[in-house]
Amino acid sequence: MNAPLAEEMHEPKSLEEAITLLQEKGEDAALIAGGTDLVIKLKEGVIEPVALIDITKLPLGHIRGSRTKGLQIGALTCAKAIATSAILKKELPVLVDAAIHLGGPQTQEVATIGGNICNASPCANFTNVLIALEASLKIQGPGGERNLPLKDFCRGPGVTNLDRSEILTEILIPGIEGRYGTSYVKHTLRREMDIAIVGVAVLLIPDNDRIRKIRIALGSVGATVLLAENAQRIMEGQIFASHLVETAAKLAAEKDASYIDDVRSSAAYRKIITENAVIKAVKEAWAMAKGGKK
Amino acid sequence: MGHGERREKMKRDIHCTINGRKMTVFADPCATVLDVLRDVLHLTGTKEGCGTGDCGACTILWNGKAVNSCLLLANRMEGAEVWTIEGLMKNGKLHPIQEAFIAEGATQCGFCTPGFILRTKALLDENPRPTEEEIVMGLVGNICRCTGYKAIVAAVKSAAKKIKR
Repeated sequence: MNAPLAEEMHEPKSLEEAITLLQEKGEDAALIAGGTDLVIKLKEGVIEPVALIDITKLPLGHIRGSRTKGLQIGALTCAKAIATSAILKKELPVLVDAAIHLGGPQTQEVATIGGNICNASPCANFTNVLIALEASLKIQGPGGERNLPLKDFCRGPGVTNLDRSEILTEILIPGIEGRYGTSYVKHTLRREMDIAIVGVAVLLIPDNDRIRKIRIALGSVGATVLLAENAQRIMEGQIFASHLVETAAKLAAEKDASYIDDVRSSAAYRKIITENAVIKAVKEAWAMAKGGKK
Repeated sequence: MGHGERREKMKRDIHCTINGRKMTVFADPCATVLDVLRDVLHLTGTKEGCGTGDCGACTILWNGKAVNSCLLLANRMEGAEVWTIEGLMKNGKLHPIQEAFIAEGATQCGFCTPGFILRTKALLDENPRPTEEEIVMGLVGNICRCTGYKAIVAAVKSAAKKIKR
């Protein structure tokens, strides 16, 4: 039998109880929900908490709202629930795309959207798409509740702005009115069950033949998921055209992203893929915005 | 304190239903379900492949869902209904999915087979008539390193037909 993964297991029934436990245990505690990232870290000894606090009994598995008024997703909603959600299929299918490509079916049954965000991987599918959608996070702590834009949440791989006694409870997606387009391009070597070499998520709001607003979130090409601010800036207000998209994609690949060589890809390959993935994602989002339903 | 001693101290009663039988298992809630199944209950049909949720060899049914038991901790067995490969046989007869895997030769060394069969059960419970694409997509979380996947996909198709009849 393997070595124990922790010494205590706590299963709070309420948020208050969970926060009190976090305060009591301090650095010795780790929160666990689906566990598909955390248990690997426990096994590998990356983290060695004394106490595990399993929060899966908390009622945070909801999906509410609409695209136009905004959506609220409970942090404990699992990828499978998102992948099969009738609301999201209709209102915001790009989130369904992110869920379908998050690990395999066995992972999707238990892995939660909150866990995907709090694990703070620059490759995280949900984080990648949600940053393009300008999502913010509802965070509960001993002093009450606070909101934080998701783009400011991660500080580096595995590091977030969450205090030791805080819990991410809900993901808030602002309303999108009228025509819009989205796209999520995830480049992997295997078609499924693979982590992105480059991920590009786009939200585009058109204004007739112009791009009124665009958000391009780049995953796996930096310490955190990044917004391609240089690329966004040169596109907003302009008439949509291929050469504009190509120039912006080059800017995103050269100025916005930062690359490293790692086990999945060389930096040089990532750069080429980023440029092409941005072109593909922006064009898909534009096509959806122009062809899609209002 | 050594590992064994620490684990003894942490153990508690976990009430669950395993392969249709209600039971109380005295086990460490921080151990993986896989370790409890194999080492405490001696249900060794569930295999450990990678131990990191990539290969699907340890797939079990947990409250009707196919999950990797190597990443699920034992506290989540409390009140749960768990099925392993040992529970599929009924009245001395193999489950139609097991029969189909044998008939199609969808197993070679057999190490991945329990995981494939339980994932197939979850897939067919949810979608009794999957297309070939749905079968392939449904099995992306399971890896076989000897047969290739053609025979496995054929077995799932044939099992779907058998169950339907």
